[in-house]
Amino acid sequence: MFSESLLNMDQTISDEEILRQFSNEAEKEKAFTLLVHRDQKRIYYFIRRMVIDHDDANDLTQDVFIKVWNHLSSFKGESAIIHWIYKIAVNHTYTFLEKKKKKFTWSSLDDENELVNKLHAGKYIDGDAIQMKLQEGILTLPPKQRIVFQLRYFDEIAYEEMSKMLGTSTGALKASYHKAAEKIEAFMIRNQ
Amino acid sequence: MNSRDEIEDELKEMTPYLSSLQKSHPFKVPSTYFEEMEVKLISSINKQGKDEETIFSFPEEHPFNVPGYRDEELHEKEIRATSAITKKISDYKLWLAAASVAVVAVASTTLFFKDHSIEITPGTVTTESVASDLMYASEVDEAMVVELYLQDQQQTTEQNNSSDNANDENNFLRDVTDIDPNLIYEM
Repeated sequence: MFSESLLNMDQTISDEEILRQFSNEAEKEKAFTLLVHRDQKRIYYFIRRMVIDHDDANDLTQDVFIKVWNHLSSFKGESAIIHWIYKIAVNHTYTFLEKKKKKFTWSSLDDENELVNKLHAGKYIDGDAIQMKLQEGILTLPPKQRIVFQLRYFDEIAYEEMSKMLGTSTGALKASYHKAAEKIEAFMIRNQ
Repeated sequence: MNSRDEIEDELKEMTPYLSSLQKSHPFKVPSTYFEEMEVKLISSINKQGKDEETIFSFPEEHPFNVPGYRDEELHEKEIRATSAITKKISDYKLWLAAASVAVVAVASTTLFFKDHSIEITPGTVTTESVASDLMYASEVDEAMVVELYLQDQQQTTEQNNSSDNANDENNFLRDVTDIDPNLIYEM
């Protein structure tokens, strides 16, 4: 059911191999390129689904991977690298959305309206009615709940990993995800 | 059961309608976007490294030679040295501030107690003088009270040498008020 192209993970290189090559000055750039090639789509699309606009997502994705370059040598290996990158992406995107909200809008409703406008008027957006309705439904969620929903529904991340990423208990995450899914379903049924 | 199956089952149980939809989104990217992303990132990282070098670069015509350190090591050494110096300066500032506060506190305390110290020596305060002061406090001003007190002291000293001093004292008090001074002692 799920579109495999969206999660086109190139599994030809493992975390161990990436870290080994990255620790060697002569192979550092090559290791990083392989890492980007492997994980960039997942990270880009997660960010894109959060911020809607391609240019914003492009900037944020580049920022995230530059942070990865700067800090990968101190990565402790307590999780998969991809989940560590997700954590950076979550923090960076959330900060971006909060800053934008304070700068340009007066309420969360204004913030939601701005993103919905981008969804309908932005470039590089082309989907059928159901896809658009689903995205509108997701945008009715508050940012943190939206993050939980995206990570579980689209990125299929286990609650245990999500808990490490977000610093929240698995119970709270399950409750948040269930609530989010119910809200979105109700929205879609109401607006069919 | 793998994670994906668990997620699908969970969604089916919670929200059957949502679980029936295909998981897809409407977001597109320019062609060759991801291929170019890798190149752009390496370029940004190299530029980031060059910006750090610029801070410590020397003009080509300088007469000095440097050891064959790699730029990264030199940069890290300079950062460590700068951090150490900055930390020392911060420590000194902290000690100086703490010392200043301590001096001010000690000086204030000393002055406070000096001003408020009460020197009591034997014979300074007599029952008569206290009673006299209390009696007239509401009727005379402070200057008058002090004057009376001092005069009382003088008269007490003279009384030890001459028995006539007691009568003079009584006369003095009678001059000030009509109250019999002997009544004061009974209060």
